[in-house]
Amino acid sequence: MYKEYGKEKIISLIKSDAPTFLDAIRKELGISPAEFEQGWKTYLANKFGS
Amino acid sequence: MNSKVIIAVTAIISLLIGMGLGIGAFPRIETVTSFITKSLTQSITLTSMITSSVKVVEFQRMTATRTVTKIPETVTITKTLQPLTVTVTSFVTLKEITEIYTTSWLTIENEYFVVYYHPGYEADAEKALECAMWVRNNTMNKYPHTLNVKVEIYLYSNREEIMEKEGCPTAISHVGVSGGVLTTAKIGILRPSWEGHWGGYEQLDHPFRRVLNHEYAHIPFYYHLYSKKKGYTDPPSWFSEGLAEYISGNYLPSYEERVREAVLRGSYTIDEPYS
Repeated sequence: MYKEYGKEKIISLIKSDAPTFLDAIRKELGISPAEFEQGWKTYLANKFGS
Repeated sequence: MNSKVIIAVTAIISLLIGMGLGIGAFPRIETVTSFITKSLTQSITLTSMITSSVKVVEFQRMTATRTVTKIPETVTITKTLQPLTVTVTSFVTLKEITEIYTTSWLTIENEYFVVYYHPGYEADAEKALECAMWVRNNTMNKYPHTLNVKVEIYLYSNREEIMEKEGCPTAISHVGVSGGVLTTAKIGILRPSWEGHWGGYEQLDHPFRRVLNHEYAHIPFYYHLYSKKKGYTDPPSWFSEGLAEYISGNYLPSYEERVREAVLRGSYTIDEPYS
């Protein structure tokens, strides 16, 4: 996540004024939580070969 | 308390100790804390455990130079204590005097940190301060931040003490924010020379520094989180803990195994994949 989005985005995610963490992902990373989760699953699948 | 009274008290204490009376034979006055901090000029010799000598260097202030001998370590501590108007009406016990030396905190500090440690652990304190600066620089590279208070680091001597005082086995951080301002930044952690387990990090090099970095990384994180005027304040633990682990460079073999199992089971979610 850190390498994918960089420290500026991560810090903005922490400081976000969005009402929920999932809203903050939308606002600060510019993707939906579903897209975020799919990216995470793809990363894991590639890493662990499942 | 005038010097004659003090000398008399000292002489009586020394005499009683010298006579080899048991601890229970000492009548009680006040707690050792009040005795040590209020009565200034004293010279107490407790068998071979502690030698303490104190002298008044100016009105209502004093410099206490203590030599604490704890085999095999010998350390010298210089502290400035506060005034000395007290009437000693009886005597502290040997046990109480011993406890003040083993439970009181001493400090060393620099621009960014204050390290609290117990007498006899000066080498740990210096090591902790050195590690803290490394940790700050390492964190700054990945998470630039500014803290308006010094981070206090409390070094606990053993597992029992940190469990009693902090309710955790290895380390914990505390962040206080009031009105958007950071008021408290504190880390409680086992001393660097602790040779027991470090929550798994003993498998890696520099376990103290790793754990200290993890806890330190939480401080700017929660400071920024809690100082917001509005917005969420309850991130999922994978985000807060994962970021702390990433910043501190902590990758235990068991992590990958747990994630691999979760992937195979499909049992993780974006809200709490570690739960």
